[in-house]
Amino acid sequence: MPLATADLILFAIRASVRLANAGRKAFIEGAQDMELTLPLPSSFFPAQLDIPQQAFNMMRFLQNDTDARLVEDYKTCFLDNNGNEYGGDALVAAYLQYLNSGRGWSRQANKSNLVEYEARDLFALATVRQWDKSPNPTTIQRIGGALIEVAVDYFVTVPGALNENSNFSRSVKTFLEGIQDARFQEDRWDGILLNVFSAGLETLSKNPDIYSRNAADDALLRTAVTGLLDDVKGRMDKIRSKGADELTAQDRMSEAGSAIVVGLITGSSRAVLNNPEVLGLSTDADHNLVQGVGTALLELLTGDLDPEATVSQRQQMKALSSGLRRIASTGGLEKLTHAALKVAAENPSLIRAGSAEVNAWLRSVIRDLYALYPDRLKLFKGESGAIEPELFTDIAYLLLDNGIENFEPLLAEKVGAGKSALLVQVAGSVLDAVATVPQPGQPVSWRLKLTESDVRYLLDSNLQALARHPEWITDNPQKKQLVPAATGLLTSLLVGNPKAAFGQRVKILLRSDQLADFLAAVLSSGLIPLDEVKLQRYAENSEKLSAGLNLVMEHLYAGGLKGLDQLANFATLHDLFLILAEKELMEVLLSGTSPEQEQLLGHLDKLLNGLKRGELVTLADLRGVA
Amino acid sequence: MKTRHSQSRPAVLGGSLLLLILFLSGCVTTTVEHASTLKRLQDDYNSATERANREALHFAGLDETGTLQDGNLQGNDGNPRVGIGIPEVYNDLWLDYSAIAAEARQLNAGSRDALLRDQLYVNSLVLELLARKQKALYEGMMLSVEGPKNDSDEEDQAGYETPADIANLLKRTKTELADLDGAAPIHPRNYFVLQAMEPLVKYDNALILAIRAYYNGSFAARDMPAVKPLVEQIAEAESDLRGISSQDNFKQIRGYVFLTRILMLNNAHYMIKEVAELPSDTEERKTFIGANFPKYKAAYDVLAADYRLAANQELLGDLKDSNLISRPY
Repeated sequence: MPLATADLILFAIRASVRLANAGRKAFIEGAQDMELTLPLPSSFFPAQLDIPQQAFNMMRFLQNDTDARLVEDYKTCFLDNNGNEYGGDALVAAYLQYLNSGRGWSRQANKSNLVEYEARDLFALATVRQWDKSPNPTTIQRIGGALIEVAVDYFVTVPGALNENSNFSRSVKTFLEGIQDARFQEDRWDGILLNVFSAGLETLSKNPDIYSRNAADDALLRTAVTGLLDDVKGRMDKIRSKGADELTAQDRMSEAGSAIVVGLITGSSRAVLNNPEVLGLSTDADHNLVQGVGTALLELLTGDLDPEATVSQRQQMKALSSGLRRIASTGGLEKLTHAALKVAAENPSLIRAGSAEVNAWLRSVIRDLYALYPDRLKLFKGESGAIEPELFTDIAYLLLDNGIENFEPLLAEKVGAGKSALLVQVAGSVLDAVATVPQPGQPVSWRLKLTESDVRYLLDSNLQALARHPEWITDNPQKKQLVPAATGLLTSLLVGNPKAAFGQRVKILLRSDQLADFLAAVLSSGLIPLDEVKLQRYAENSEKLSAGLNLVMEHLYAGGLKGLDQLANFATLHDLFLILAEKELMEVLLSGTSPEQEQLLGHLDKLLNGLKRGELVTLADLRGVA
Repeated sequence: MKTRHSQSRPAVLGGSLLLLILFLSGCVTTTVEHASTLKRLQDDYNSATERANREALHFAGLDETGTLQDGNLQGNDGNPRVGIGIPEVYNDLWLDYSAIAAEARQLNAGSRDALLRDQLYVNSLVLELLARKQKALYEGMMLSVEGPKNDSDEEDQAGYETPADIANLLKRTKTELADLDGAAPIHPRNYFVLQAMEPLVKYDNALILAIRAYYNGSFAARDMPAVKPLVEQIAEAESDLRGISSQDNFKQIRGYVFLTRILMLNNAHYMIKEVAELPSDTEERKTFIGANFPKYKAAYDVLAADYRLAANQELLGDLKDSNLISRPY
């Protein structure tokens, strides 16, 4: 007990000193800040002059049109180099505007009496503050801050001030200890707010039982908050260390907000990564997998910049991080993580090879995908004008998911002048093919009135079609570069045909789970050539090619889905297209009404009808058509 | 026991606090005495300068009710201000500034360390400079009006200062601050005053000499060679001040500089009018005014440009904020 009394006395001393110092500082700062009235030039007015007659009117001095003598004396002052009159009226007008602007001065302007305003407004110009904005805190903040500090000091240092046996009291004490270092007297509001926020987090991490009564929840909450705290602390310290001159309060809070969002993402994710049992993963190997991929993704999300990056790349990464953060905050993170984990689980060798590779791979794909964003802004843009996270994450997921089976050729491959991932380029060309340029302020519209689900399926099918023919990518480096253009052309052929009947057929194809087979058949047949010159020619004559496809599909769909079903996996269709391509029969089909065309159509019709009936059609039969 | 302790604790705390607060109050009062004196002197100085400025603006065309009049100056009673006791005005202001200057000088000498510690030294030096400048101005004006003191006032005259003395004081002050090498940080307004002091003193000097020339009859005799250099000095002061105004000063300082420059040119023109009160076709007048046209034209051009810039920027800024315009006209 005597100790408690001694503590109280010590506290009283500290409190008194603190308050006295605060008062003294406030007084000194008041003297520093005090306004000073500067002297205006005295006037030349000899005493015995008849002042009303002789006193010179300042406004007339400027106005120049009411005093004939003045006009004459200063005529040249109001003439420009060519002898034209200028400036006099403008000067007066400008001066009056200056006096009146934004100061709430009364003004009545007319020709005879140009202006009326109060002299004290002019006097006010001569009374000058020390600073435009004083760096010193206000007296209220100084004294109020000292009182808060005294209160904090009391509860933290005086034993028994808070009941140590109460959970709530303990958490309050933790909080108060956290804000003990806050400078309530001097700091700007943003600095104080950040301190209080950090203290709140610290309290939460040390006393999770205040908010939950479940041991498992406690552990998760503690881990999540500790993760957030660790992550945020460094960033906050950095932000706090910037002086008031460097950052406005708004900018500081904006930076802090960004740091907190990042902290929330990384902190909560770390909590999951550090608690494998939450994920249902029990072995160390699984745990390592999760951590490897998770860490790579987190680094990506938090914008771990390459120090060698140029300024523009850095800006791009900044934008990427910003966009991804938003995506992460809308649930897309879960989807991306799932894809990444799936890749990792199915390719454990990658993880064993070290997380650097996984990191590079993930980063490369997502960054390349995000790089599509500026050019295809409207495709990813929601009605609010911001990036549409749903579509972005769906496409990212499709790319990652499809890349799993052909990881190296499809995901790691980088082609083209921009050297971005092949799959990303394919995605870009497919999106270009299916979208029509929307009106300003309107959301993107899709050709053939496709739904977003159709678009995803179309992209997915293209990727699957490519995955079945990795030889395109592995065989010839030059061909690789043409793959995105080929898929884009094929997609545009499918969705770009304006004929209603064709559109209906494409939609049936889209919703039949056989689109990938169809695309693979066309692509692998060589009907869409992987030859730069031919591809260009085909693109220019896409209408003819589209009509050819239409012709074939017309026969296939003549009996509804039945014919389509008979073609099963489209192996036969592949052969059909192969022959059409090989023998340049497509050209014949499209040549008009020549006898060859009629003959060919007759054979084709017969063959397709046979297919519909379920007859076996061999390659030799097809060649026979030719 | 517990009860006794519970009862005694607040008493102990209260007693301790009371004693400490009394003790510390004493300490604080002692340690801020220099700041307290400075604040009081600044108040006194502001009060005197407001009166001085009111006079300056009054003779520039503003009456005391605050309404801009068209060559019709009136006193508080509504009657024209004819033949007011100018020396009396000077004397009142001179007395005030003398007292402030003396006390500020004493403060700076006696409490230098305390002022330095609290970053108030430059404030205090600036205050002393301004007060002594004003004192010198009114001394000079009174001497110009009343003529030199006789021998019996020799003791009084020993304390008199001229604008030249103030210019020297300014130099010494700047040297001292440079020697302190950052120990006395110079805040923005103080920095401005230290820069602006030189042209302000130059103007004061020209004004004192002009009033003296008036009472010596130079104006009545249209003694152009005597008056012309004084007008030119004022033009120079205005020009120097213009140079300072181009620095990165905050809004309020820019407003002060504008007003000061207008008044300087206004008074220069007034002097020209007085000395050139001649028929408009005389060769003498033409010669005098003509020689000054280029100088004034240059000053006008710059001033006009400054006004337009400042006025347009502020006005357009306001209009933009109000969404009244979207672009400059």
